[in-house]
Amino acid sequence: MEFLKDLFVNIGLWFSGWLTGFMPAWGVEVVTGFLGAIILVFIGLFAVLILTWGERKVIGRMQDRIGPNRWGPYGLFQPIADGIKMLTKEDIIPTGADRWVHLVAPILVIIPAVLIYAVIPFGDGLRGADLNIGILYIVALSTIGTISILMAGWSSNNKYSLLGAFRAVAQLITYEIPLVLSIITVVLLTGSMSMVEIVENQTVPYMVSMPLVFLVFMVAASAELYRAPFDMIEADSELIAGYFTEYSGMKFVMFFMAEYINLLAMSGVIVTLFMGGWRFFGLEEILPFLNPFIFFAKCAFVIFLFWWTRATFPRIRIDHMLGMAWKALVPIALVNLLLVGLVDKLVEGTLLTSGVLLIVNIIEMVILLAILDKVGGKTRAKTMERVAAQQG
Amino acid sequence: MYFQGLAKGLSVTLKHFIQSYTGKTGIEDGERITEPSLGGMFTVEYPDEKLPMYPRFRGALMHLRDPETGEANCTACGLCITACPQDCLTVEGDDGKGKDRRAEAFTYGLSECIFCGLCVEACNFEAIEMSSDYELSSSEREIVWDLERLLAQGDKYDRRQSGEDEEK
Ligand code: SF4
Ligand code: SF4
Repeated sequence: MEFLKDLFVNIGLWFSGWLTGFMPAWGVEVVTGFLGAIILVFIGLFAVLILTWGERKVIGRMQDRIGPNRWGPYGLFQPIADGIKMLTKEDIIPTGADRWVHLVAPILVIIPAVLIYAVIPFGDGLRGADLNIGILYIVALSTIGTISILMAGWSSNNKYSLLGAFRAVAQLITYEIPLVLSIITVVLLTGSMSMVEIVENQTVPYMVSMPLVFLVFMVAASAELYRAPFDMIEADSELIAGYFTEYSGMKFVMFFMAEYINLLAMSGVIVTLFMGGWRFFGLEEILPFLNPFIFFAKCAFVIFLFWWTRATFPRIRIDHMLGMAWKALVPIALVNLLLVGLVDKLVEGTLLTSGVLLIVNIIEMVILLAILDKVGGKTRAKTMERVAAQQG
Repeated sequence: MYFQGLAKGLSVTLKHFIQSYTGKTGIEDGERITEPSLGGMFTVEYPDEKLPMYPRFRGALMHLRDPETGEANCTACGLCITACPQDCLTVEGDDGKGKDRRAEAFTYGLSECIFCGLCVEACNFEAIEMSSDYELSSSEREIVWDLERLLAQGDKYDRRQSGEDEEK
């Protein structure tokens, strides 16, 4: 029974114990590290299969359609069929393309996406590595993905691709700031950048005690993932497919996979930072083997939120999108950081802090949104006046 | 309230998401339910279920038979051939005179036909009609139907022969 209670961790311990029987210590480390890496990569790949199916299914349902349903029960094998189809496609390199950059970009885009999984704690003791700068590592990695997007757009020798890549960079620079500011808020409260410690210090999920920070992070995250309504870089109606317009076959699939691996990784980060990771009202103490299931259930919820917004909102114009980040999200995140710092210093006790934070957050939300509403309304009125004058 | 518009949009999509599972959908008593207020999905799963075509729908051409003799109505007058803008019909008659003449051969180039229905308009003998058949894909490059094939098509799709009400 003891073994089953913390099943996954114990399997790991048993395995490394078994290896120590006939291997030197460094050999055990190499083998376990290698196997762990393979498992993490396969979590990502498996996520691609499930998420592509799920996205089409959920968005289809929201639009009163059925979604994939022809192959396998509930169309579950659809991603496999898609994969086979993609493998048989011709691999085209456009004339005038920068051959090597064109080839390397799809490989480079998938590496940082997979690397993020190394620091995400799926359960107590279930993680690739407990870096003490885990969250900084994630922020650093998410920028590398953009370099490969820029490479893909530039090397394609296609104006639409290049435009998409430019937008990607603009979007990343803009939305990284509110994203990092809300991460700092969490780090400030926790006092640590390690993902594991952030989870362990979250008695009350930060999503409950700081809804505004969570909201800012969600908006910034969906912009970071280039998902609708922030899918400026692949805006199909304007840019065909953005930076991967010129890619076909397996190279196209690489971009596609990177997108979904990133989606699960980002939702894992959100779950870790704001929803208490693998913790669920003390259940994690009683039945530790449930930890990864709790974690992935929370991930599913976050991903559903992403799908839901994608099915609901139309794409935002690029200047509005950048404006929203600079004029709304960054100020909100800054004020938030200030207030959270103050509350953290002045109030003692975890529960009390959470309560005060919640109240402060709500007051802040009301005031800030009132200001934004006023300012936005004024701009709008001015624009409308100008339009009316033009139409005369 | 702020975000009212956003919340409204989100609630609409969520409502449709739930209704797609709980709502009424599909076929009941041979009738497809397409009442939007009932919610649910209205997808017609094409290869498995098909919508009934309207009587005036113009699919592939078919030849009709005389209900008494069972022979083709066509008298090889050639009016349809003159009317056809695509030149995709040919006809050959036997030695009979006037109304007694019968078509011996008739070809219909399905791959050139634009389904305009002018040949049907031109025919004075109720010999041809557009069937409701729209599943016409073929692995041949040139699809040409002869009289036999056209009559078979008529046997299959002629609403009068099957006794169905034509207005249905
Ligand atoms: S439908 Fe039009 S194109 Fe086709 S055979 Fe008749 S007249 Fe010619
Ligand atoms: S189908 Fe009608 S119009 Fe054409 S040849 Fe026969 S009888 Fe004449």
